[in-house]
Amino acid sequence: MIMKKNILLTIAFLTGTVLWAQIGINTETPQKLFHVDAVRNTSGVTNVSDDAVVDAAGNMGLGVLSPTAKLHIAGDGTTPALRIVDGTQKDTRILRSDASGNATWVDQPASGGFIYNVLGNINYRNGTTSLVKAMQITEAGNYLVVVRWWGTTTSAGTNNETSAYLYLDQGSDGTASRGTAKDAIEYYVRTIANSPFCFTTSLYATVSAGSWLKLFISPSIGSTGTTFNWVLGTASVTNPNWNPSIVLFKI
Amino acid sequence: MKKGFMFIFSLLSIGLCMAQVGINTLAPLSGSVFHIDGAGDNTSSASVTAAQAANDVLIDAKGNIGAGTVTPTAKLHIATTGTTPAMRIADGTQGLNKILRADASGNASWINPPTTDGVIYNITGSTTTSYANNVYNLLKAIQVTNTGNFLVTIRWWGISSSLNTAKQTAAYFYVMQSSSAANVWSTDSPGLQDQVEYYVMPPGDSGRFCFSTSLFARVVAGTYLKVYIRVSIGGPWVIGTSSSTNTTWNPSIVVYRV
Repeated sequence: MIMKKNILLTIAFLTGTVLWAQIGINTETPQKLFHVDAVRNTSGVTNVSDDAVVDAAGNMGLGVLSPTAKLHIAGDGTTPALRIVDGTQKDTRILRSDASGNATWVDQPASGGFIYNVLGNINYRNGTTSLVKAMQITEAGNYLVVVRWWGTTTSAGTNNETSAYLYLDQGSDGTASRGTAKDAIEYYVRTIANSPFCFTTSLYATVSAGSWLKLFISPSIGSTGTTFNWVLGTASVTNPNWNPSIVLFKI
Repeated sequence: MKKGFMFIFSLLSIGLCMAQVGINTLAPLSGSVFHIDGAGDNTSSASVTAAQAANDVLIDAKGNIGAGTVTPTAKLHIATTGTTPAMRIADGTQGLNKILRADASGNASWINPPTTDGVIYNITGSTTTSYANNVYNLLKAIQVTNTGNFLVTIRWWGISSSLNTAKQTAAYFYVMQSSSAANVWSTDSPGLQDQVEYYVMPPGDSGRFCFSTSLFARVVAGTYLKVYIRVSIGGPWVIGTSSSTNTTWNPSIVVYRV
């Protein structure tokens, strides 16, 4: 009779200990439901940078005894907090979610900024539309095309006036054919013939990835009735100081 | 009887574990504190192959956790090679292409990537518009949905009805934040943030001129970014004389956050 009682008592102790105590690994005093003290140095709340816990709410703490998030990592100042190696990792990448919250590393969003220099001995005849530059777009978005012009005209109209149309088209290729008109300006300049002038203007377009933005020019106003050119490269055919440039970027 | 009882009792002190703990393995990696072998495929406590480590979770002697690796080099080091995503955070903020952002305390949530909200406003209409000399006129009120620093680039195109004796004309451009979209300079002027008095010598007798200039303003979400014009020399400045609708011959304003 006594034998049975003792065995039952023993079994009761056995089950009690397994199910309802806090579990500690490397610590005699687990402070949470599950508490690992890797270096075996925790005393109260000190030396917890090497500890891992799961608390009664199911929150996990690494390096912290009282996690305030489902996963709370407190770094020790030297060891990186989080490292994800899944094939998408690369320097400077950021974490991006899919629809379900799965994270992968992706390149930081960029504005696709680019500069194109327009160099060479180039004559743009009045009344003719000529391609200045075709620029391929890799990311869809709203683009600002900033044109910094530097050149001369062979003819200026009454009271020092010349003008040219600048057209910004979206096209499907880099050829000299016109595309879908996006923005345009007839730019008026006060100057004398064969003397450098400069101005900066901007054109705007919303375009899709893989398309081309093409800038065209058509000089318009010079001396009445004359054929004339807007000319590039008169000072230098290589130095961007004295030639147009085009900067485009997403805004 | 007593002896037997004491023996069994000593086996019960399992609330404390000082040895390495292995779950689903008889060979927790030596040096580790806690080693779960998901598939139970580890064979040696001295070394674990990459394939074996792929299904393991381990806490090392420094308290670093490895998931998919038994040699974590960060407090939490996740390594995957197959199709299982490394980490999934599903807290209600997740959504396609959102990115992870911290609050001041390091709490992470998913947010939409920052944008610059770039947009163009064409100043066109059904007829010409005249801006008289020395009158503050509202050029545009732009509703702002995201707080930020804005660059306001004005591409002007128009004429001036008169010039001074030096053949010049000029106008002020002003930008500020405002709580309303109305033309109320006296209410808006105390909040003035940037301005320029732009001088022009129009080419030719036609007086058509164009230029671009940029102004800068900090505006908070829910308010308006406003651009005012005041002709100061010559004028009135008139727009729409070549065409009131074609953007080739009318002003436009491009705004984006910088």
